[in-house]
Amino acid sequence: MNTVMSVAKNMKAKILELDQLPSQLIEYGSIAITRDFSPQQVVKMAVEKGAHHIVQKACRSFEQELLVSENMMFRPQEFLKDPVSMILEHKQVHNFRVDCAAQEHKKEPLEKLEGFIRGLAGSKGIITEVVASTEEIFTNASKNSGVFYKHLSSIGGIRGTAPVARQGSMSVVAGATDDTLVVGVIDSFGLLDAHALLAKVLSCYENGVAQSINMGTGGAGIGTFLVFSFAMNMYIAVEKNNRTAVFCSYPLGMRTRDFEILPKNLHLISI
Amino acid sequence: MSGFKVEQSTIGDELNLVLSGTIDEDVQFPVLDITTVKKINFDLKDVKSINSVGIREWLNWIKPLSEKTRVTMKNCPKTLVFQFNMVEGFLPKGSQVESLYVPFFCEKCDLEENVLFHIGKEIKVEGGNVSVHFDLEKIKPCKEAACELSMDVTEAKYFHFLKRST
Repeated sequence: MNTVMSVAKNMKAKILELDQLPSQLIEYGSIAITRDFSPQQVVKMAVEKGAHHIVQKACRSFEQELLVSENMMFRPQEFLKDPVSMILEHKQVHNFRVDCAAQEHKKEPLEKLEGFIRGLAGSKGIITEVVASTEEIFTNASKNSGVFYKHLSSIGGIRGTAPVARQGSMSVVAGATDDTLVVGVIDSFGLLDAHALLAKVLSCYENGVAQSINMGTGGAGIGTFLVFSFAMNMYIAVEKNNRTAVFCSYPLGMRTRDFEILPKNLHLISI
Repeated sequence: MSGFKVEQSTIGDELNLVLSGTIDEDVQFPVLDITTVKKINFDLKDVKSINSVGIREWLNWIKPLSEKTRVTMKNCPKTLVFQFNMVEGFLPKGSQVESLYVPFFCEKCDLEENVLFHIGKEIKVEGGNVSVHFDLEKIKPCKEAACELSMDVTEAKYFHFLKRST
């Protein structure tokens, strides 16, 4: 029995092994398994073929990623409550969480996050990029509170339309095992349109970042493009009008040049 | 967030700009009168990071400047080198990079060292080919015998912009 089948035999999800972009839409409840699609192909499969879970055989933690897909699909509330534990299978030995009101400035939570990451063995080569990625996720989430940082109101980001500040909260959450760091943001709005966001990311891949800005599609799409470009895996979960969780995982103790060639996995759920 | 600063000085018809801090939504680039300036020299050593809104602001600022005068950049940190490669126009057409930081990493010591490489010295660009030459022993700050410090970039990717700009 091959690895895919041995892992998948007890799973409820439908397994689709693909060596190219399928001609038809991928039905919900499926996990698309590929070998080593480029980041652009991964996003394209989500945007154009409706894939919600794309897991690549050549990634660093294939079996674990299959289980995360299954759990996100069939235990979404548990995922939204504690994404880090579900992604790391409750094996994390370091935890971090900062809760704040949605209107608070990002400076303090991000400085605390930087301190947390700095204390992890094997993190030295990725600190700046991980904090920068989390800042993008935080900024996207805070737009839903109606808090616009100075220039953002003119950009017309896809979620940044609320004229009045909403009451709500945001949490910067992270956890780490000896070899993996997971970081993300949970907000109490649940307004993210993940499909529209990824369509903008795809535009960045297909047309270039500068062109996407010129086309007036700046803001969230470019930020998320930068986030996905650096991350190893990305997890997006939306409970409409209630919660959004956007998380990424990164390897610890691995050279950047080794991990930047690892195929990326992408997971999306919306309930 | 940023605490972004630009220090300006003029020598003859050259304008020197030393940038520091974070380039984000709070950034305020100075309005520059460059009618008599022949060249702008950017020192980017202390730029800590840039986000997506910062990229947009940078593009809007740098493009008209580079259309009117020559631009050189030195001490470019890796966060900006990523943008040179990823965002067309971030490094304006015709501008010249004099030096950039290259990350080195040792898994055993968990040590990251950003080493300044100069174009024409450690980095040679000839006929569209980029080659890198350095003496690792001179770079190594760690004296541990087991230290395995090595360049932590994919050369074809990290130095790709140099092929474009030649």
